[in-house]
Amino acid sequence: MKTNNTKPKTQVKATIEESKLTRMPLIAGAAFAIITWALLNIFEHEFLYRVQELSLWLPTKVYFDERMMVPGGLMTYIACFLTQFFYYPMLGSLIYVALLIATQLLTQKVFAIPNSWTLLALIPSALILCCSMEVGYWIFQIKTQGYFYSMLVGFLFTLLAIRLYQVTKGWGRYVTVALIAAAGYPLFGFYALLALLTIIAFELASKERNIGLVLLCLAAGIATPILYYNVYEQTRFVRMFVAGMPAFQFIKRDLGTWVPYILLYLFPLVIPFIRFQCAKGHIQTKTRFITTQAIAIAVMVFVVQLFWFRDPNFRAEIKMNHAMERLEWRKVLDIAKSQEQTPTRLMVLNRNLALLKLGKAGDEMFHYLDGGEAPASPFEIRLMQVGGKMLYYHYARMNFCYRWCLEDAVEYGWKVDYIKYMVKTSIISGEYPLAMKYINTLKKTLFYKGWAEKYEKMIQSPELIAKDREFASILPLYQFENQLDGDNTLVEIYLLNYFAHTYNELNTPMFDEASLMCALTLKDIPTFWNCFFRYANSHKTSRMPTHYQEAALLYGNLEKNVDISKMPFDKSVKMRFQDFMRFSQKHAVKNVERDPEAKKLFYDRFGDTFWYFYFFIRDVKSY
Amino acid sequence: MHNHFLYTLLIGSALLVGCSAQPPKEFTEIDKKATTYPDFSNTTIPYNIAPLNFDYQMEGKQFITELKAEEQTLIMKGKQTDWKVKQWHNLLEANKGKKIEVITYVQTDKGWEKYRPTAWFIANEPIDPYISYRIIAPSYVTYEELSIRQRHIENFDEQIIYNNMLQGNDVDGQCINCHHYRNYKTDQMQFHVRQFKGGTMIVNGDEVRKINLKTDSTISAGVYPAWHPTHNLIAYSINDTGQSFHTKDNNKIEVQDLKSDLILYDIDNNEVSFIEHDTLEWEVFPAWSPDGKTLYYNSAHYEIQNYAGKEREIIDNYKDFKYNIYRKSFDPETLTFGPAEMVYDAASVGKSATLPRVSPDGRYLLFGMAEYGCFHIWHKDADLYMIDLKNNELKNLRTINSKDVESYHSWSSNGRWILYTSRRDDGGYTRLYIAYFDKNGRAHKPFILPQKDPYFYDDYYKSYNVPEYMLEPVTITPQEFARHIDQEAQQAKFRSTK
Repeated sequence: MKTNNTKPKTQVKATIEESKLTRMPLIAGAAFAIITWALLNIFEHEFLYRVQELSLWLPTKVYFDERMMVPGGLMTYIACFLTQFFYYPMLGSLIYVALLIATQLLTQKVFAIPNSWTLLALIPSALILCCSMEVGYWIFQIKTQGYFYSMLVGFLFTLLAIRLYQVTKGWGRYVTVALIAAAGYPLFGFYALLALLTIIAFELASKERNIGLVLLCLAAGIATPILYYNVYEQTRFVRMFVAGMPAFQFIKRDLGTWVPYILLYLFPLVIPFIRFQCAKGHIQTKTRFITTQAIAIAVMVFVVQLFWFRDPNFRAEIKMNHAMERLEWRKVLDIAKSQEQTPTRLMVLNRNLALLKLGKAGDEMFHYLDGGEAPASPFEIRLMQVGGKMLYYHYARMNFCYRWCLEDAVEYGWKVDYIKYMVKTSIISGEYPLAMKYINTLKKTLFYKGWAEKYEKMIQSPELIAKDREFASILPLYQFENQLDGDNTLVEIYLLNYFAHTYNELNTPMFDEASLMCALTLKDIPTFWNCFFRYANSHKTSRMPTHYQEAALLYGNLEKNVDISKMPFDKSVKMRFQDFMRFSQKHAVKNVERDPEAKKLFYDRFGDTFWYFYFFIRDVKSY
Repeated sequence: MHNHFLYTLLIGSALLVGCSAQPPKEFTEIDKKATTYPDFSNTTIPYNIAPLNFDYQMEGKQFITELKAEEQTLIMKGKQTDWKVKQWHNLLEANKGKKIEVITYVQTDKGWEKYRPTAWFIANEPIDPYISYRIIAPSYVTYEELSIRQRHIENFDEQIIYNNMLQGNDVDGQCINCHHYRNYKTDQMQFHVRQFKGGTMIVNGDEVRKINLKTDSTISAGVYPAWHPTHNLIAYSINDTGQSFHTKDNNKIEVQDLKSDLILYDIDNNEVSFIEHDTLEWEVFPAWSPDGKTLYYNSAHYEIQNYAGKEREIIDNYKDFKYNIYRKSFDPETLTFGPAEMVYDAASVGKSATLPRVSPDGRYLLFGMAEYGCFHIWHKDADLYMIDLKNNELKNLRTINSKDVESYHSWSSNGRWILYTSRRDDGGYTRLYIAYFDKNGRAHKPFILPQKDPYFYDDYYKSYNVPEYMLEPVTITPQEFARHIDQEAQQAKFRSTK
């Protein structure tokens, strides 16, 4: 590195001397850590909790061996181990930012970045943060185990490997390179190759370049994956060179997702070629220093916020999921109420389930924003993957819930989330040995032992099952006869049709209510009347809820097939319906349901009725 | 130097402790047998099987296990056994045809207790040294990583024969199944690759070929194979298979054939011809008799009522598909089959029989049976049965059956060891069990395929299926198979037999 001992041109301006900035790395790192930790905890604690639910780490030989069957296995193992600490988001994020700071400090050391350039050393940490936080809906589909931490662990290994190369001399460097290739590659995959490439960059940037070492690194970088191809028996030849990288595809759709990774991988290859003009005695003006730092911070903030996935619907879905797990149905409704944009179908389904659980569906199911905003995902995502399993579970479709847990576990890897449902569905299905298998697995985790023991007690004393609050709210829907069926991965369509069109003597009042809710959503008039009369029959002693009255009034007037003249409608419902009819006549325009202005007018006045839902909520696509 | 000395001392002490484990001289006798996982007690085992490691599922401060034979004793200290392979084999080989007592001592607060001894009966006949199986998650439609593996069952070595991830990827999935060998030898073997780069991999001596067995005249490529014992011919069922899902039943899934036939593949001429092609019959699971003069198979008779809604009808009437066992005589020189002959009319007793397999001596017919259908791995009532072909006597092999699924089964080359799959442990994951079948036609208590870690199966979330015996390992590497799979498949020709 060049040194520059020239004195400043003017003594008048305030100056900063490089040697006085010794605390800069720690201060910058601490600031970055505190801000990142705060942001993660304020905005993403539910997401972080979900991340660990969608992961699994077990202290078993089988688990370890399975990770080690592909190059980079140890990296995945460590990444999954660290991910589980997000069970306590504050603790998990503390570990996460601590490792980000370790990355920064190590980057600064390895690349001899001057203190005044500390922010440059923060770039890998910021990019890793981008990699973690850009994930969004990928958390349900990515096949990289321990995704949230894998690039962080991998990059830290790269830095440590380079550091090892730096502290060794002479023949020791050849040994280091051989070690990185032979031992580093199986354990950390591509990140060992990245270390080799970085060593090449260092050597090429150096005046005393060691061509022999460059050639060794080059040969090792190419030969290692080729040789190991004959050792690893479940990795394609081309994948050997990228083993350990995230499992995105190299296609246009995923290009955006790759950007922070590519920048992260380029960083160590470029930095060795930069000649920093600041030695210990280097002095620069305060203004210049502050300006450059401010610009660097602004760029960093811009980039991080650019990649940080902040879709409100995604966040709402995650929050709802957590609330539903804790049976906090009112909170689910609060989340639904607080949304300002069109919800996804999952949010609508979650909300309706909460209403059903609270017995409020008939009076409130149209009090919320409705519709079907597509998930903010660049790839096709299925409702099944993001929340369908929980819906099937709560709607007592145990076999379907179990099936999709297993299918997704096979495709995307085993996760705590799936295993929990497999425990619960197996208990309800009476498959206790199977439930015990999953319970035994969860008992080996760090944070789900207590959860597992609760269900183990139920297996030991099955009388506890019906007494359990959660199971008690599901069992009324588990009264149905077996049949052969299939959902074609369309959870909502399946549930709507199943409940709306299923009737047998086993049906409970709760089942009848679910049927009627589904009939309303389907907007199928004959089906509605079937469900309506069934509901009326099983709820003789209670008042007919408002929305059901609204539907009966509307359908009775639209089609005169059912005599509604003697039905005891609430006076307020009747009056509002008359108001709705008058309003409709007054604002009658062609294709009124597609006219945004008319839609708004109707929404302001009748947005909380079935009538608005019937006429204006259209073209909703489930997924 | 100091450390070196310390380590030597520690290791030396440990070895000394290991060697000096002795049964206690004073103990209280307990009149019950020790509870272990897995339960290997009182089973008949081959002398060349890998060590049977187990864990005591009891409380205790110390455990001592003593394997006591006539002239030898093996002692192990610890809650979990981890027998040394060589010592184990020495003990078993020296005690062929004899009994080894398994004695358990447990130290509790009350002192040492000796449990009622159990025994291992060491059969005179060895088991084939290798088995192969497919490792698959018990999923329904999706699959990701699948592998066909071989296990040296004299120890714990397991190798991959082929793993689908060597060719498949996230977008282009590849299913692999139905590995099969001719006469227990691996120089002639086959397995199927489905979907991505699909074809049937046929190893014939030094040659590895990928064949597309689907022709314009047949409904699918080959599915369930049976390699002729003396000729280069493979009988296959061809199946158009669908799946549907139980909404409540613990069987969870029904795998049904919408149609199926039997074909014969002539390897040398690369030709396919029909064996059975009857639209009213659902034929499946061909199996040759050891002399190659008879082909056994299953078939269900079903007459479609509504061809427009055929698929729905088959799904709705899934319980009406009851498979019987048939056989046909075969002339390998002319490649001609005789008429179908009923061997066992399972439908007449309201049952459905599958997977007929004749013992190597030609005397016994081992098969699976459940209430309906042919994909019994998902049928909890599926059990193994046997017909003595000498007197047509049917026997439910109760000793080796359980309340849960028993399914795919194989005979060892000497006909003494039955290897089969069972879901008895947890109801969801298929494990391999081995049972001794003695000269008197009696099956003995089975034991689970031993693993080094007794709790391996507890932690393992994959199933074993299609277990097959082999006399030798497959020597073609997975990577070599991958290279062959990468090639274009050769198209088989259809030969009309009319």
